[in-house]
Parts: sequence; structure tokens; C-alpha cells
Amino acid sequence: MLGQYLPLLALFAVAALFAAGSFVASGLFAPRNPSAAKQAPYECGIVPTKETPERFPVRFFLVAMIFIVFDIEIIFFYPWAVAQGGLGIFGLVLIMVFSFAVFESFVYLIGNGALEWGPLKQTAPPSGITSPERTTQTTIRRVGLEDRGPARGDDAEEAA
Amino acid sequence: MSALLAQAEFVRPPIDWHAAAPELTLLAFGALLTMMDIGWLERGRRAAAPMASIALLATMIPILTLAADGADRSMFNGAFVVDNYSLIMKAMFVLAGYVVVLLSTNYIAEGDYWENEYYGLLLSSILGMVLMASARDLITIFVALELLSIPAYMLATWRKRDLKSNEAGLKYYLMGVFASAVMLYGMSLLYGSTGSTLLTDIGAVLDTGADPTAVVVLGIIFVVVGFAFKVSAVPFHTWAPDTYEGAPTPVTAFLSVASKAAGFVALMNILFVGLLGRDDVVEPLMWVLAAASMTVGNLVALRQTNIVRMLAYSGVAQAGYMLAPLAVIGDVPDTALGAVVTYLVIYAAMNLGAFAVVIAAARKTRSAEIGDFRGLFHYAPGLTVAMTIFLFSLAGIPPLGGWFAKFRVIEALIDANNASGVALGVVVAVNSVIALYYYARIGLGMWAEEAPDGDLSRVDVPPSLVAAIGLTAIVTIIFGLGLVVGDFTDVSLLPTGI
Repeated sequence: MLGQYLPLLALFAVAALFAAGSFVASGLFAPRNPSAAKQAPYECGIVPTKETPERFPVRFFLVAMIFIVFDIEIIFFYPWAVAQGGLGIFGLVLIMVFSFAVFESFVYLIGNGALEWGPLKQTAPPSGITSPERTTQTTIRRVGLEDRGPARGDDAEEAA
Repeated sequence: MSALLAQAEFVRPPIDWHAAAPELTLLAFGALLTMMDIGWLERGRRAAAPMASIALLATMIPILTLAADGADRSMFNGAFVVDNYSLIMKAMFVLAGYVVVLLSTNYIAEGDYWENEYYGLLLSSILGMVLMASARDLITIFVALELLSIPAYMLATWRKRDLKSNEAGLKYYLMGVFASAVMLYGMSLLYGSTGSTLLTDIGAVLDTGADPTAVVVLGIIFVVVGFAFKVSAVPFHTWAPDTYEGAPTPVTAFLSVASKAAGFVALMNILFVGLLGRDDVVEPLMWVLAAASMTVGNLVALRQTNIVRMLAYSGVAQAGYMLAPLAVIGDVPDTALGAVVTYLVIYAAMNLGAFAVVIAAARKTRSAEIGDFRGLFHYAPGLTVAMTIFLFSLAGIPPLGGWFAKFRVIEALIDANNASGVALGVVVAVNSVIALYYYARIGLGMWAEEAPDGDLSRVDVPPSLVAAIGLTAIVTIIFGLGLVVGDFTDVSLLPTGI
């Protein structure tokens, strides 16, 4: 019964042999002529001019999220489209409920500025004090209690 | 293919809207909360916490009407069941969630964290728990587990500028997905050897005893190990202290109560409905997990200096007490189930209460070190009395709720009338004595010692925290007086009960 797994085992053995063989062959035969240019970190073929910036724009992640939102919608739409004749009104209503849920997450992303491209604005004041403002230009907001003066606590006491 | 299509004539599954109403209410309010954020921006942000409270209280309405109706309901061939047991657990999850919203209101608003998203994720996690209480199918259980876990991973990192919070979320996430993978593997083995994902079908196959293969045993062990991570049972508890310490304190309260209870609910669904036929495997496994969790949790808690870490290890030990009745499920299934349900409800009240006092006191001390709670009585007598109630209840001192919960556990173990049950009862009793030391040490510091910096200005406790502490204290006390007992022990997951 386990005999049917023999080809799989052979595949593992071949893969391991190939990997080990490649390492050995590369060590034996590869020429070594190191130069400064060859040892520098590769960055799109351009000579790096400065250190990597600390913060990346998160927009690329948001675009990836939008892609996933629609990806999931398609995955569920496809089988429904194939079988929709048999599912009838019941299936139609359910897929509409589902697409509402999917669409809501899309609206949420757009509403938070996921597709707003343009010049990068200075999002945080240099002092690092929290800015409670959230504009349509940025989704970045500083959080946390650190770096915060007692201003808010005083306000709360006055209000109380 | 075409033959297959022709065969599968689609029949609209009957849907009992009343039975699904609690889940649908939560879902609708969660969607509304997200829309509020998009539409109203800052105004929606201010309305987020009241909206989440309304959502949870509105969810109680269908739960209460279902309870008043009293009939057991079943949908999707028995994958979704509403009975006495699941209604009690649903109500507990919703009310625990409500207390967590009360704890969060000031913490999240004053820390200037994202608010709408916080409450949206919280509601989503509670939705998963409410669904879990009804899930009687491996796939439904897994979906409910992910629905409650994934928002919790994000909530644990909510203090995103704090490295400890990042660590908390990452550890919780990695351990959580690892546990999910192990559990899924176990589920696939169970499905492979019994041919069904429905727990009742799995139970029927295992009851016949026709297939005592090692594969089934392996499947049971993997599934139990997966949930042992969720309920932070030793030796799968290592994530808990770091996650609890780093996460925002209201989230810690949520994880240590609701999330842990959800793990227990899933475990009980699987053990009682599906695996009761293999109690020869389940009972020793539970015995070891329970004894190890109690002993290690209590011994390590003795040496903690941070109160949140101490409560984390005390939570590990409490999970051990709750696992103990599951070690005799083959002998006295209904008594064991009643004991665990009672313990879960009481534990939710007293542990949420303890966290509420920690959050309230930390508003002044800005720290969770045990040393900073010294002399609390001199400037916050109300908080001190409440904390004493919760700590003594956790220790199991009569006449508080925790004592009654432990009493039910030991009663179930003795009822089993065999050596292993009695031995575990002795372990529970010895551990209760050890635990008293570290609970009482905090109490002594609060009452008898001086405040560390001599600062006796009063603590500003916002009304939502007062409400949370009041609610949990009342529940802790009335359970201890034995006023509401019958409903919580009158639960059954046996086939005759459904």
C-alpha cells in the first residue's frame, strides 16, 4: 500500500541530490573575481545614494488589499455563476448579501484614501506630538500615549 | 461531470431565522459601525463605543427570546444547534464583550487609538464566539475559531507604537496559526477515519468501537492540542504572559476571558458530542493537561512582579481547574459539563472585574507593577474593596463565586467515583492553597502598607469603569450566595439532550 509513495520518495532523493550537487559544482567551478561594484547591494541597478528611509508608504499594501477583496469575490462568484440556474432566487439573494459585504470592505478602503495618489505630504509634525486630525490626504496617524503632554488629561478634568 | 450536476438537485436549506438572529444582529451592527466610520469620520469615531454597547445589548434580545421559547433548534443537518447550553454561552460572550467595551471606552479614546476599527474588530471577534457556541461541525467550528482569532491578533497590537504590544501581537499570531494548523491536521485525520465532519456522525462512528485505529487517536490528540493553545493550558501556555503584558489591558481582559472561554466551548462541543466514545484517550490527556496547568500556573504566578503577568499565570491555573472536570467526561458527562459551564461564567465575572480594577488604578499609577498597588486603600477604598472581592473569589474563598465554581469542579471529580478523579480533586485542592498566597499578598499590600510615593490624591475613575466593576462584583457575589445555579448545571450535550 505504501509502495505507491515510492515515486514521491525518489523525487525527494533527486531534489536533494540536485541541490547538493549544485552547491558542490558552484564551489568547484565558479570563477572568483570580486570587485567593489559586484559586492555592493543590488538596488534596481542604480548606485544607492542614501540609507533606506524609515517609513514606506502603506499605499502599496492597500492596493494589495483591494486586489484580495476582488480576488475573494471572484472565487465565490465563479461557482455561483456556473450553478446559478439551479440555485434560483435563493442563490441570487445570498450572492447579493455576500457582494454587499465584500463591497463594504472596498468602500471602507476607498473611504480611507487607499487610492489617493499624489505628492507625499508631511504627515506628522516634526515634534512627534499626536495629531488627531485625519484628512483625506493621509491615513497615517500617530498613536500611543508616549510623547504626549498632560494637555488632554487637563482638558478632561476641566470638563468633569 | 454533467451526470453529477444532474444528480445534485438543489434544495433550499430550511433556515430558522430566529435561531440565527443573535449572529445576524451582531453582523448587521458590525457592518453599520464600519459604514459610520466612512460616512461620519470624526463624529462616527465618537459614536463608536456607544454603538458597540448598543450592538451587544441588542444581541441579548434574540438570545433572551430564544431562551424564553425554550425549544432546541437545529439547522444545516445539525451543524448549527441552539440549545440551553449554547444560549448560556452566547449570553456570557455577549455580556463579557459588553464589559470589555465598558473597559475600553476611556482607554481607547484617551490613547488616541483607532476607535471604529477597534470596536468593529471586537464585535467581529464576539460574533465568532457566539457562532462557536452553536457550532457542531468541524468546519463550522474552524470558521468560528478563525473569525474570533484573527481580529484578536490585531487587537493585541493596538498600541502600535509600543514594541511590547508589537511583540504581543506577533507572538499571539504565530502561536495561534501554528495551533490552527495542528488542529486542522487533527480534524483532517478525524474526518478521514470517520467519513464525516458532523460531530454527531463522528460520535456515532466512534461509539460503535469498530475502528480503534491509531489514526483516530492521533486526530484526537492534535485537535485537543490545538485548543490547548487557545485556552493556554500548560505546556502550550508560553505565549500568554507576553501577549497579556503587551496588549492593551482591555484587550488582555478580553483575551483572558472571552477568547479562553471560546476555546473551552469549542473543546466541549467536540469532546462531548463527537469524542465521548473514545474517553479512554480523552480522559488521560485532560488529566495531564489539567494537573500541569494548575501546578505550573500557580507556581510561576508566585514569583511575578507585574500584576498583568500574574493574572496571566493565574489564568493558566484557572484553565487547569476548568480542564479538570473534562478528565471524567466518560463517567459523569452531564455533571462535568455543568461544572465547566458554571466555572466559565463565574471566571468571566471575577477576572473581568480584576482587570477593571487594574485599569482603573493604572490611570493614576501608570504602571502595572504589584508594588505600585501598595496602599491603594488609603486613596481608593472602593477600588480596594472591589479588588479584594475579585482576588478572594479567584482564590476560591467562600462565600464568593470562585468558591462555588471550585466546589462544582471538585464535586464532579468526586462523583466520578474512581481513583483518577479523586487524585485530580486533591491536586485542585492543593493548588487552591498555593494560589491563595499570591492573591492574598496583593490584598495585604493594598490594605496594610503605605503608598510607595506617599501620593494620596484620589483616582479619577470614569463612570464606564464604575459600571464594569459594579456589574462584575454583583455577579461574583450572587453566584457565591448560590442564587442562580439551576440553569447553569442543567445543561447537556448528550444525544438525548439534543
